Amino acid sequence: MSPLTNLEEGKSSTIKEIDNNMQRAERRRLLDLGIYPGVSIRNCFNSASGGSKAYEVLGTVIALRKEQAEKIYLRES
Amino acid sequence: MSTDIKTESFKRKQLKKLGLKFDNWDYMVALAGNPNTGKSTVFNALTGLRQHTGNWPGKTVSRAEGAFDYKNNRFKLVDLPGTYSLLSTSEDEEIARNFILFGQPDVTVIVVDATRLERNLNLTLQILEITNKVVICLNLMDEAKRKGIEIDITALSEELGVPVIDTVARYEKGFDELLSSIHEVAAGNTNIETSPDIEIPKELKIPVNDLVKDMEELYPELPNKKWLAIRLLEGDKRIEEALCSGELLDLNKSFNQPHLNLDEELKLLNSTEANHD
Amino acid sequence: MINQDSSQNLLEKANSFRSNLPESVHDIYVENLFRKAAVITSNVLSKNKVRAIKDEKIDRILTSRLWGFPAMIGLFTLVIWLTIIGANYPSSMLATLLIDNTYPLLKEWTTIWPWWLSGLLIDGMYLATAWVISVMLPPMAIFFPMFTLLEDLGYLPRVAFNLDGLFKKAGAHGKQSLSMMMGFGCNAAGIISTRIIDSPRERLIAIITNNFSLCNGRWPTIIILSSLFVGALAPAWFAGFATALAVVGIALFGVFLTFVASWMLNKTVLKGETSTFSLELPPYRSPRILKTLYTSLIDRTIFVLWRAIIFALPAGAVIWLSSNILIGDVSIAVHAINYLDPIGWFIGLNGVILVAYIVAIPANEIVIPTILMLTVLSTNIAGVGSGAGIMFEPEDIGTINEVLNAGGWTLLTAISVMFFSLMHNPCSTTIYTIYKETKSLKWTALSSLLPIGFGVIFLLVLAFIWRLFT
Repeated sequence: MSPLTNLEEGKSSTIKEIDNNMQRAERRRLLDLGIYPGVSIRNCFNSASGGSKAYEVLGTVIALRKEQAEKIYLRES
Repeated sequence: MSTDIKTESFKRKQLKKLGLKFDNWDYMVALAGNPNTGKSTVFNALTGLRQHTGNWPGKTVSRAEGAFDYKNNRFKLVDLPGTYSLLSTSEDEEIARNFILFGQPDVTVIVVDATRLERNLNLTLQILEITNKVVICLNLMDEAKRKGIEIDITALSEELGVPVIDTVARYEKGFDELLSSIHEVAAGNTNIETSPDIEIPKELKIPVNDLVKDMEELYPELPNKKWLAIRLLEGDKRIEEALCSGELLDLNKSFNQPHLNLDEELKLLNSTEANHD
Repeated sequence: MINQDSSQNLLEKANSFRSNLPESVHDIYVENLFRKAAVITSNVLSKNKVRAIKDEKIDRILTSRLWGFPAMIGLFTLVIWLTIIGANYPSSMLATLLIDNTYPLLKEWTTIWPWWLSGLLIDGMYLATAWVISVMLPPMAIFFPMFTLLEDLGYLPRVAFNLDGLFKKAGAHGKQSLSMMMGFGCNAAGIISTRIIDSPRERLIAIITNNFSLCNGRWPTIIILSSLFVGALAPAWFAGFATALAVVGIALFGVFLTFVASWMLNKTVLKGETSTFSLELPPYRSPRILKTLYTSLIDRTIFVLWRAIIFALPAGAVIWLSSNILIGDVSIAVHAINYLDPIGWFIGLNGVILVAYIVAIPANEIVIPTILMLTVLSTNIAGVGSGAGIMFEPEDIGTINEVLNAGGWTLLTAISVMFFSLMHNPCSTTIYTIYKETKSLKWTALSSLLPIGFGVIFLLVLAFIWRLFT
């Protein structure tokens, strides 16, 4: 399965699932931000110091750290 | 700034901005919404206060309160922290949810960003599960127009079962309609239809139906039984406590009574946190 | 009537159901709710044009590896430079009005009062307050509105985003950069804003390190000393800019210390998992400039100024009293200065500076006037100042130089004071705020002592190396 970290800059995809090993609270926080299976996500740009990237979900640009993005899997296009 | 929008006249005869004078109020209005939807702009325009909030989530951790007078009714306006949802993943969400449930607002105005409707409806639907005394303030309509977004207001109102008013808060556009709608819902003159139905996962169906049935027998007056059942099944400590102490039942008996203010809510929150340590 | 038993039964029933339910079921319910939102949206919304991507073009530059940091430092320097340049003229106007004109008038009107009463009220309290107003008001009235404009534009979350990689390496929360930014205005406000950090461990790190953000009470000290000692080294046309660079350098060193201290705390007393970071980067919105200026002037500038005045009044009284109450032949102030002088020497400072920092615990704004007054007092230089315990406005920068030279100041002293300004105990309001937020004496003590510990060690090393080479 392809993790969100593989998504090229400027490209969109659909979230397939969130890693089952992710802690519940962390999962909830992603859900809170509107990051859940079925939703479309786009890689917008990188941070100057690296480590985190900005993604667009439901019209809002949200910064996520690499550790989170690795646990979000995308639908194969 | 686009030139086609003119600032609407401040001289709205029926509105008096009362600032911090909120001692004797007839109706309490809660202001909820996502971060960056213009919530503070609505708050400031109605109360005449100058609440400044930065545009990042969580900056308004404390609440703001203010008041206005509309058609000789005094309204107390409570600005809740801007949140994406009410899942209680943070202190703001806990405060917002508890206020909507226990603070007993007569109306909850949800400020919705028209340019990000779906995201904002996530919160809206969660609030509608708790209360249907809601007015939707569909804000940033000018920005939506510029982005080529068109929203069928009547259809949205029908889908949600509550009034939807389109506004441009920066220029106080649509505020006459917003105020009259708030007044109507507060006074109980609006027919609120049923809220949208959310599909319950199959594992939850039997437990939820069972608990709702019990509640119907025990506390028929509770308005949001399905939501409460789900909260209990998730082990929501605050709700369990409110059920045992009878607080939940009192809510529906004493309208227009100041019950718990946010400070008390906060204290409660802190004390429950302290208990966990 | 509440039926306790029936509530209890209901709860027990829910609990027994819960034990058989997979935890994920609640998330699925929320997902269903979100899907309903998606369905409603598609039913009522139609879109004509393509989404504007102007924001993203700006962000690609402002957060890029190449331009992210230079843009940040550049913007910051510009704001400081405009503050320095813009504040000069109104500052001297206020000083002329409050000190050169009003002060002699007040003294004249009160000649019939006993000397100690007019001394305490006018030479002590009035002058301290007048100094604070003339030095503080103009820079704040320029700095805060500009800062608020950057905030309203939506730039600050981008700064947080840019710095996140560094905060992550330090084991801190990404949102700590937001509380750090708030601290540049006021540390007490910065500490309150750490409430946005959910994890108690990371919130404590943010609270303890917030004092490394140079607050507005300390900007004037750094700005004045930079113009005197750093700006003076540069050619005239470059002086303003060199001053701004030195000020920004100190502020950035504070940011660096924030990372170092966070990392240290993370490795020692506040060990734990770094929690995840998610932050909305809001769309850029053109601020309503006039409204923003008005709001930040009224809410921020006046608020901070009021606080400074409230603390300057008693501090002025303390300075006057300590310079006029004698024990033996000399005043309390001189006793204290002589006592602290040897200690100060080791860290590149002197007794006067240490006494000034003690007097200024309630409000850092009055450090420079106190230093000047105490220097005059302890060195007895003639022709400057107006007498024991009287804060004066030096007519021009030359006078300050003259006073400091008489006090034995060198470039090392100036640099040491600038760094000490950055690394010393928080002001009393901030300490009180830390206590209110943490409800713990232990964390309050650590937050107050850690920065001064950093300062003493840094200055010991600096003074040692400096003296080795000069």
